[in-house]
Amino acid sequence: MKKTLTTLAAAAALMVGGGAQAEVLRMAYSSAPRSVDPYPFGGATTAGYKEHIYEALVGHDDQPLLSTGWTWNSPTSLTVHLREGVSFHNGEPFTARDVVYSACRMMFKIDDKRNLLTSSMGPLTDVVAEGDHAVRFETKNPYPLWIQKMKFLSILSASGGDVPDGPITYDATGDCGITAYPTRDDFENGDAAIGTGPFKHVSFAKEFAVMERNDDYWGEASKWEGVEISSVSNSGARFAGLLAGDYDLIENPTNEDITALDGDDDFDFSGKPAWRTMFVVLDVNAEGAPGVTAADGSAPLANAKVRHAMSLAINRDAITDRLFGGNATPANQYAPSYRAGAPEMPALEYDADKAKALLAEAGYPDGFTLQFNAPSDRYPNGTRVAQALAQYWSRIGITVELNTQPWSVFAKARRAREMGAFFYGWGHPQGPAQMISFAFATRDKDLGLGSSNYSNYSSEAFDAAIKAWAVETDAAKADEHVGNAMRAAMADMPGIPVYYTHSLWAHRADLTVDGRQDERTSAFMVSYK
Amino acid sequence: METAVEHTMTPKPDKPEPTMWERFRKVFKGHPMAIAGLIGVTLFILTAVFAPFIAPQNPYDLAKLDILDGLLPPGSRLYDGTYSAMGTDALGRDILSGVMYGLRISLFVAFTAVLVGSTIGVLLGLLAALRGGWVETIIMRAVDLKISFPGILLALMLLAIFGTGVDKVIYALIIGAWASKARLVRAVALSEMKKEYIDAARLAGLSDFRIMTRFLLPNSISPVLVVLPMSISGAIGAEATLSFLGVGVPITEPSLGLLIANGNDYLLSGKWWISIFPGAVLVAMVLCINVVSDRLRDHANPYLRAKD
Repeated sequence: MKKTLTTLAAAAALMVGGGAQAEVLRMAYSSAPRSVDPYPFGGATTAGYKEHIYEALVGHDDQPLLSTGWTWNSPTSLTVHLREGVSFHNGEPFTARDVVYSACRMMFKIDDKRNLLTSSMGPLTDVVAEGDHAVRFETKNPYPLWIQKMKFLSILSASGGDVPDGPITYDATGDCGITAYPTRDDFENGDAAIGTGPFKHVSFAKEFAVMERNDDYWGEASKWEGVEISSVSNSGARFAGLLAGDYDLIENPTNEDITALDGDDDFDFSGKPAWRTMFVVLDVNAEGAPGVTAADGSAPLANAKVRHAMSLAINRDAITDRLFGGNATPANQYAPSYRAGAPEMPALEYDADKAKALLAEAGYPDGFTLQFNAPSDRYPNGTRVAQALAQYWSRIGITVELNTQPWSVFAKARRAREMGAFFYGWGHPQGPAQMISFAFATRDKDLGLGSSNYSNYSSEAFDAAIKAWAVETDAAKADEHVGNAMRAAMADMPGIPVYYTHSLWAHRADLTVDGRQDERTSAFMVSYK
Repeated sequence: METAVEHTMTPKPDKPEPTMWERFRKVFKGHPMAIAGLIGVTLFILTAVFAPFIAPQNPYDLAKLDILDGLLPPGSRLYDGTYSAMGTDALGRDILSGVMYGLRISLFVAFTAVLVGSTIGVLLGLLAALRGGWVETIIMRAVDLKISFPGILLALMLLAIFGTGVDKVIYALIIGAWASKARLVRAVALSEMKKEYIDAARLAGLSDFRIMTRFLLPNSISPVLVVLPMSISGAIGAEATLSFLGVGVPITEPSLGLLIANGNDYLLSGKWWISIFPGAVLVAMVLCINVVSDRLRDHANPYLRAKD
């Protein structure tokens, strides 16, 4: 209660003082964080909220955070060296025991529900504390990806659960000899919400969460005395709340909101190229694709020349410039070219005459009929982009029937594979390779490849490069394999990359926002000018 | 005997029957507002019918649009060298052409829905009056049920179930249009039923269908004809609302309502022309129809007519 009063007082001071030195940062998210428990849920919103409180061995940039580095003992054994002098919000020191406890908690099913990272932890056979400041991870097969996956293993204090004295022995059921784990209520009332992060839990309701600064933070303490996160899903209400002074910063303003801020002295916006690639999925099945018909009964999309012609027909600069006012980046591959691990690729050409010639060369001088599907309520500007794409394809002679429908209907048709061509956006927290391995690898349940291969694409060169990447422990060599896979896919064009989205924030003009690619919104990004 | 009857039934006309044109003049003479409305309605209908010949651009042909021409203010020069009198929307669609074609869709949808809906309503109303009993009960309770639903909600529900498209919008509006006509016609027909010519027809052994179409219909239809224009303007508004809400016509073939919705996002950012022009045309058209329909209603009202 006292804490709440302090925050309220600080908020009041801010309003009275006109924000000369705001102590509490008030942010409005576009959706609500789903829990204080760091494990059950993913998604940018929940992740953005919880990273104020919890930290992992590896940060969002894949660099050491609660660790200082790691050594590979063998391809199946990794020792991570822990940061010393770190303590939890309750004053307990951070040790290897907490890491083992957190791994156990991740594997433990509460109410029989799997946690977010369970599948990624599948290859782990053991997690062993080596003294107080090192942890050894043992895996079944070589599993270099674990370095990146560790960022999802938020570290909880073992003192939050009922843990018998002595070392904790990891097992894959998460039982680990632990008597009781904290419940959802324990997290929401703050008893178990004990991390090492720069902010401490004060109160949590889905629409309104409050945190205060952790003054004993091991790194540089935040300039903000506290954080309040409101969740306002209606974009108009969010924007109105910003203009009315209810929030200091809102996420995901619409492009139109941003144009309205043009020339405004009190408010400004910031953007950051994000990791979502918007692309057109084409069903390359040789038997033909749903909704795609040619006069001669052939399957146009099975022909790579047709797919390249469709790509050549698109003026990507015009789309990002005119429809997004520059707040999007033209795509040249299936993952943002500016992401770590993405290969160097040339920009994709726009040449309608060449596209027409290529289409004729492929045997479709008079084009063909294409039903093009797009969700009407999913992506910012999505239906306008879909219409622009339809414009470009119409101009090279393709008869386009544009079919826009609500996401709920669209997603059902996608799962049932009833669409031969559709507009789609996808980003993956773990970089370019993950995304293309899901989207374009030949389906293989055992290796977890191609689970979202709606293109029905299958290429030996691509599969070989992806399989080599999956077991490569050397980062530089892994990037090389990713490059080979990306080039193989781009040469065949089973989907047409169009643009990369930007995350946008609208905020008070006296703040600066240094956004991140991962679409999260956190107090770390925000500071005074 | 026969000649005597004939003699009394054809009184010597002291004045020739007024021609169609004379009747028409009589309705509108001395009512400048109504005449202006009538001219407006005529212009809108002509524009809609001849849109493909007079519009600067075919806004439904995606190959003719260029997003590089997007969001240009009125009077701008487009990429192909033509000028855009009302500016362009985000996709480079010429607003003037969009309005002309949008009129077509709006008028077509409204006319079709109201005519079909009214025909169904009139027939059901007559049937209820003529048959009475359980037929009347079923029809009139269905009317009550329909009228107790907010019209736009019913249309939204139907479109959510059956999907969107011009045809679906027409179905939804037909379902909205029939009930009030059925109720109106039944009331008039019931009073006609008490008149002697119906008894005479019954005694002559004519079938119900024949009585309905030959005698009841012509004598009960005029109140419906009077409310018809009002229904049409209502249907135009309803179609615009549905399209504005995104459940109406397809986005590549915008009606006036969808054009307004397209510009709605840009109103705050100063790109007023996308919504304002289609909106103004919609308002003007509905206003013209309403003015004409008010005049028709006043003329049909014997008390008001006596004052003319």
